[in-house]
Amino acid sequence: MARAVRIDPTDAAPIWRQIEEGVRRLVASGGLAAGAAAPSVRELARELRVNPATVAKAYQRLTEAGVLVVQRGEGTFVAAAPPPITEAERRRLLRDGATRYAAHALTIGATRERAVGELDTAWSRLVKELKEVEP
Amino acid sequence: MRALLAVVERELGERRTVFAAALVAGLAALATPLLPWLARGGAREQTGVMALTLASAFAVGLALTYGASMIGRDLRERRLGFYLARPIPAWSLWFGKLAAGLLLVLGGGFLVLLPAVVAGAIPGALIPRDRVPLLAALVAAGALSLLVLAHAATVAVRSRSRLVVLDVALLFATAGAVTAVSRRLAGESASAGLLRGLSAYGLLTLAALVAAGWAQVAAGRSDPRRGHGALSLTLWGIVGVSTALLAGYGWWFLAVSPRSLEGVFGVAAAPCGPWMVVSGRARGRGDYEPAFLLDATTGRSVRLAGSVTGLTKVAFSGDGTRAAWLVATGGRGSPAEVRTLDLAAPAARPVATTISFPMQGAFGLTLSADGGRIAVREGPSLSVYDLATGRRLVSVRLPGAVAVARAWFVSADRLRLLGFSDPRGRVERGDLAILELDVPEKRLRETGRIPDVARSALFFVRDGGGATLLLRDTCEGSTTFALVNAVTGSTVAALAACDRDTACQATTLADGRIVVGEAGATGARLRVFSPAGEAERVLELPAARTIRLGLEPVAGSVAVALAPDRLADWAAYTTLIVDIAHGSRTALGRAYRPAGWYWWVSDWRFAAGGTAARAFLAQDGSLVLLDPSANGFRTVLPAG
Amino acid sequence: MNPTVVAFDRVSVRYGRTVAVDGVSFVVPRGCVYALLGRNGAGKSSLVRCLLGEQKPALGSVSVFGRPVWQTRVAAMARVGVVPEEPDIPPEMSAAATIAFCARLYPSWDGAGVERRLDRFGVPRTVPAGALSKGQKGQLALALALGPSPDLLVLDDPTLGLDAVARKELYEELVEELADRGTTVFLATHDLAGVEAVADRVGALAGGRLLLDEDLEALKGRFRRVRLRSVGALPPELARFGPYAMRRGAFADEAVLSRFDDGAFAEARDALGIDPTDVSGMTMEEIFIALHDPGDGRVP
Repeated sequence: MARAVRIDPTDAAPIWRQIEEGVRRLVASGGLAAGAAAPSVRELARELRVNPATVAKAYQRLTEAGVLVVQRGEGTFVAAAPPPITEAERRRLLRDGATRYAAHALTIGATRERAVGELDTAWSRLVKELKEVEP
Repeated sequence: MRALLAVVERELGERRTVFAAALVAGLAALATPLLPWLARGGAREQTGVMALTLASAFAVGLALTYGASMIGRDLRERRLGFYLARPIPAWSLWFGKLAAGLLLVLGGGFLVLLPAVVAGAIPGALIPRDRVPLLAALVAAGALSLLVLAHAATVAVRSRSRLVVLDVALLFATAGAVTAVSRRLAGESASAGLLRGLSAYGLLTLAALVAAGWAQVAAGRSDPRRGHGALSLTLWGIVGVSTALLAGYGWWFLAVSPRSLEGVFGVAAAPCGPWMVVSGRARGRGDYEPAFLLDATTGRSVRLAGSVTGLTKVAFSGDGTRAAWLVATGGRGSPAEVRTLDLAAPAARPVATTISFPMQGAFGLTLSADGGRIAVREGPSLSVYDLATGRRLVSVRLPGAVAVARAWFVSADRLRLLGFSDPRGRVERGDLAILELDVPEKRLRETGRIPDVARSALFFVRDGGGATLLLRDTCEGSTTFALVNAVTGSTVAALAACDRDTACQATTLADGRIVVGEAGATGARLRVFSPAGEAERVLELPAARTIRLGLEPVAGSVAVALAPDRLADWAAYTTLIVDIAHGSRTALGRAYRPAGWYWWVSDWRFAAGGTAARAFLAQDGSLVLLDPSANGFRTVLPAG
Repeated sequence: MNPTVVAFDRVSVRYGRTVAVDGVSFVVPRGCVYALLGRNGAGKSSLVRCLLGEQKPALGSVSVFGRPVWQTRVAAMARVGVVPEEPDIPPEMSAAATIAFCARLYPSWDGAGVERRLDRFGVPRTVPAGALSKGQKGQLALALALGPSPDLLVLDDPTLGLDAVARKELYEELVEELADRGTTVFLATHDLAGVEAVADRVGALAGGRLLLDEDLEALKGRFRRVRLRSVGALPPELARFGPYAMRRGAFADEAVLSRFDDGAFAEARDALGIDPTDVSGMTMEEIFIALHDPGDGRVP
């Protein structure tokens, strides 16, 4: 999971936020299945080389939001029915990603049709891959 | 304590090889007899010496190198933080390293010696049992001194601070002060003071160095400059105080008066007048025996400084108005100068004259009757000086074949000398030559001889200008008294003779009569002779085996001390005053020794009833004067 | 228990006439990971020495666990673990001997933990410390520092000279310690990238003075780099955002803003036609460099 959750030092968002969003993304995309075991605060902190307090804060928020569940004596798990990403969150993420992609495309002087076409191709390929991972 | 032990263990554990090397060196010492260039014989001693030499070199070298590096190296290589970042108190670190150093040095030295001791090359009986703790303490103190000295030097140098100059300056100043005090004490032969003072000072200095090292670690921590500052401040602070204390001690030690004498040991007196020389052990000052010129009537005293030991070193003039003595001006080998005191003037102080000569060779001071001239024998020469101006009037080389036994002023311009013609002194008996020195003509000539006299013979010079000498000769245990012509040496009269079992003494009365006292198996008696040597009377005394004669405390009587055994302690003596004319006796009591005499070195006849004649030493060591009218004693110097 | 573990109170350090540290005051609260940053010669080492009671500041004082450390060094060091900048383990001592020595000095010692760490890093026990590699020396030093289960861990440039692998291992070790015991950590370092994710608070020392002393999150929150079309001079709308430096780049001009605020900036952004993608956060390193090196000139 650590590789899927990355800390970007240039990102303006605080580290706990980056961890939180990363976990959410992973859960939402199915990379971390419902009910699966999540790494402990200690393990994740060690892998990311991040202050455990920061990881603990992210986990706290995730637990409060119902994405993660702590079971006494057994560890931390993904909730059985993790709440989906909020609409506002979804919109923000999509918009940020789209803006970035559009900026790239415009910079290299691609046409809108070309850019949309590449987007379609990428979407299809990723959906196919995901389907292969998960039955 | 935990930390200190950890430090000690760590230091020792890291240097285990030192002990192994010591043992190897010790075993190597056993191979000494195999060395080709050593002399034959005494293999054991040579091995022992080699082992001792190796042990000393090992210990000294180790002490210096460990002392320099124990804190210094960590400071230099910035590794002191290893200790300082841990809960190790500064004192644990410092004393731990010191203790480890001591153990290393002493243990290493011991290991070097061990094989030799086991092999019997160093006899265990070399050191007496009761001295072992002292010796061990001295060795440990020496090792500790080397350790802390090496450490202090390293810290001072490595700090690269300009204050090192101040350290060096203070070192020289302190050394100078200590040397000055030591020389003063040595010059006065105050060896007890020197030993005690320097021992205490050494211990204080050692303590100062240890304390300074502690301060350096505690206050300086990892900063070399600050450490140096703390070390120097502590060191010179303590050393400064102890140097001042040493100087004070030295001053106190020599600040003695006759009252601080525990007991008067010896007395010499002027032929007339109240002055005498007293000496004895000073209270609380070990074996220091100062000497004083004391006015027995007023109690005024003048200290005779400069190791005037031996009462024979003070000369009195015949009229009792002047005294002269020698003072060492510096240490060994430096010249001695003559000082004089005008005894007649009530407020006079000792005056240094310009007369000086090498201390070693000078002896036998003699003053003329009025104290105007002084004669000194220096080695093979005799010199006469004018005391007031210091001008040398004459100096003659004595004939090589003569060893001068006595010299005295016959008059201001003439001296008489007595000397044995065989100077080597191989023979017990010899001929005594009588010489006369003419001062204005600077001529020495032999005027007569006294044949066949024992080297141990004694002479009364009854007065400077006297025509006869009283000779006390001994031959195979028996003693003879005779009057001898002072110029030619021919016998004028044989006075008395005692066999070896009879004790014999003589004294002279103020009017010139001679009294010989004898005590033995046949009883005790006084034989009185006229000035010309004719027997006048015999006075019987209570039975006694030993007799001592004093002077003339009352005109016409003699002080006599009698004891029932030949080798009696003074407590056993009974002292009497015997009236020569009537034979009556006055008992003075027990154990009073006639003092103030030493007549055989006095060049002048003692005045009857004078201070010298009335001075006695009581059993407790106090000096007392007989008061005949009150028939009691007046204490001049109490004992203790 | 004192909420403040370390307090620097108007500390000044002088060497002869040179002032190395001038009136520095800051506090390290319990449980905080405090990173003290500064260029070489900025005065970090002097402050660390004062913190450990090795050096007495010319002015001011340093308190550890609420008591002045110069006077209470021994009591304080019983609860402190130190990893020095240069390895100071006596070179003749082996790891085993050093552990044995240190274990006796503290009231409690986690021997098993020390052994575990050394095993994990493969540090030989009987080789003299002088013969160990730099990385192994560092690992031994860290293991020794953690041995007494300290309440305060002081690390003076611990990654100096370490390769990437050793650096990673050190931070992993540190993070585990933090997770297990919540130790307060004081870290003086150059390694901005590594410390970025671990530090709670950050202080920056420059020329002996403290440039900032702040929560890391807040610091990163208020610094932004903004890419501007080549305008030559700084637009006045940006003046209220604490512009720190402006650099003329090859393709565009860049400004560093030190008082960024999301809401307020949104207006200025629209007014100036700045795209959201032109605004980016800055790494610790970038912030640090900006503080020290204004590029083409500090903007008033």
